[in-house]
Amino acid sequence: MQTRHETEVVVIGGGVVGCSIAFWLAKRGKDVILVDMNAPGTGTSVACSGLIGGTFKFPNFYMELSIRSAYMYPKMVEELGEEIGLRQDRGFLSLCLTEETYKEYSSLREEHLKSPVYRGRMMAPREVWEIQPGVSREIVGAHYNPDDGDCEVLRLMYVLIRACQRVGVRMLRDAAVTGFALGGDNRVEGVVINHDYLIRAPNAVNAAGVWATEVAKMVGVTIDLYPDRGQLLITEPAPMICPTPMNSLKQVRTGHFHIGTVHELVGFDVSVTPTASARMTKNAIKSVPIIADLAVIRQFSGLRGMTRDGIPCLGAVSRVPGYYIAAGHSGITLAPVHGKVISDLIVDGRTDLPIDEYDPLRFERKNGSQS
Amino acid sequence: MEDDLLICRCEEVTRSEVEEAIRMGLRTVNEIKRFTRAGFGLCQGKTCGRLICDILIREADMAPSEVLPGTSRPPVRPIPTRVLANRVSKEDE
Ligand SMILES: Cc1cc2nc3c(=O)[nH]c(=O)nc-3n(C[C@H](O)[C@H](O)[C@H](O)COP(=O)(O)OP(=O)(O)OC[C@H]3O[C@@H](n4cnc5c(N)ncnc54)[C@H](O)[C@@H]3O)c2cc1C
Ligand code: FES
Repeated sequence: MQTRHETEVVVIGGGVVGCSIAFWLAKRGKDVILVDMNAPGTGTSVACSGLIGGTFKFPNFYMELSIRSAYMYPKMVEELGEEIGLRQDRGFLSLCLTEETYKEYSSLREEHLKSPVYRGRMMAPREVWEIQPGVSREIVGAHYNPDDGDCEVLRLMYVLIRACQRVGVRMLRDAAVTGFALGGDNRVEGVVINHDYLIRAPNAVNAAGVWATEVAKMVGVTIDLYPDRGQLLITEPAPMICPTPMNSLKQVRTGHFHIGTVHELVGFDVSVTPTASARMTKNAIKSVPIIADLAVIRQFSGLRGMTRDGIPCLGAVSRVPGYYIAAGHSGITLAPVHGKVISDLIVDGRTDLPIDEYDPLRFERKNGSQS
Repeated sequence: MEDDLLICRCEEVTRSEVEEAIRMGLRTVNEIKRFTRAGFGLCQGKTCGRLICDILIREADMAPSEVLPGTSRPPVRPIPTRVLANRVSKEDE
């Protein structure tokens, strides 16, 4: 097969995760080619809510890593050199519309309290209305986490793409990885593009989002990431009455409400449904009644890449030297961590961040004993 | 054509912003929409979509058949949330 390019690292997937990794690698002196089967910025990263945080992510180590990543955001934005609409000064609300939800969130909070990192608390309705005037008078209360926030994902995506271009990452579109060239000891020697040509490289990073399962299979690794469809609605703009991001509902700088979301196991189908829009608008109106007077201008969907244990995959694949995986849910929150960990592993051969629990090979080990 | 010519009236996106997107390597109406916001306005690209296709054909040197129109997302016209919320199907109740 013809070799068309040579480089030190091929990053597979131009979402927020792949671009963050490519950026940090290039910044630290590596020659990087990023390939995407469509184009950078066309996957799940442009169809999601953009919340950055750790609330109700379990086990606690996952919440802790998420919060750590949130704390890395301001520095990353500085390095990227452009604003991404980061909102980290208002905290994050999870509203309780019923006593039942209040009890549920309180007990989740008890579990989080076992971690020294967690600073969330329950809030009485009056306090919620003070920081979020648009919220319904019917609420029972809320969970509030001062460490969580959000950003504008489309901005984040294109600021990352631009920053990658600035630090010399070569980006190839319409370039699907279809296989790998492995050496005698199973070591990565190159990446096959479109069944057609080879990019020669000693390192490959699988950052293919929900499609990472396929790209792992190409080197004989099973990671079991599966698609979990979410849908989102965008309303016409309204005066700012909800400046604090909330779970499944936020008002962005331009005044539009982003209304989420559902979990649907329908494979890779990205269509949108009236059943979902009915359910989502009903809940949104209960949370913020004024939404009833607004019109929806757009509905779209995105595919989360979920794992059975809910935790992303992050790390080197020991069996295939030179092969790394960074994929799974909450890629917006974890983009700085993904970028640091993979660049640490490739540049220094090790990382300080605690990633043992994220080992991509854990599914193969579990397959023997469980499921 | 002038650089500050408005391509998308709803979101006030100029021709030079669309050209910048093309210089960055974006080659579809959807990508240009996400980068510039042209097409995200109340009319959801009904007015500007065609213009952006034309600019792609000229500036990015693409054949008309290669330029895909942007994805049309529902609803076709803005629908009050009230109306959507009441379209509850049987399976929900
Ligand atoms: C409705 C919804 C709401 C969400 N809300 C949040 C949130 O609030 N906070 C949060 O942190 N996360 C959220 N997420 C999750 C988050 O969007 C994802 O975890 C994140 O976008 C994943 O980024 P990524 O770069 O891994 O994947 P993607 O953005 O999907 O990028 C992967 C890229 O890989 C490319 N690719 C795939 N296969 C190949 C191949 N063989 N060869 C070449 N390229 C390939 C694809 O074309 C794609 O562009 C949400 C997701 C959804 C669906
Ligand atoms: S003119 Fe561009 S969205 Fe209306």
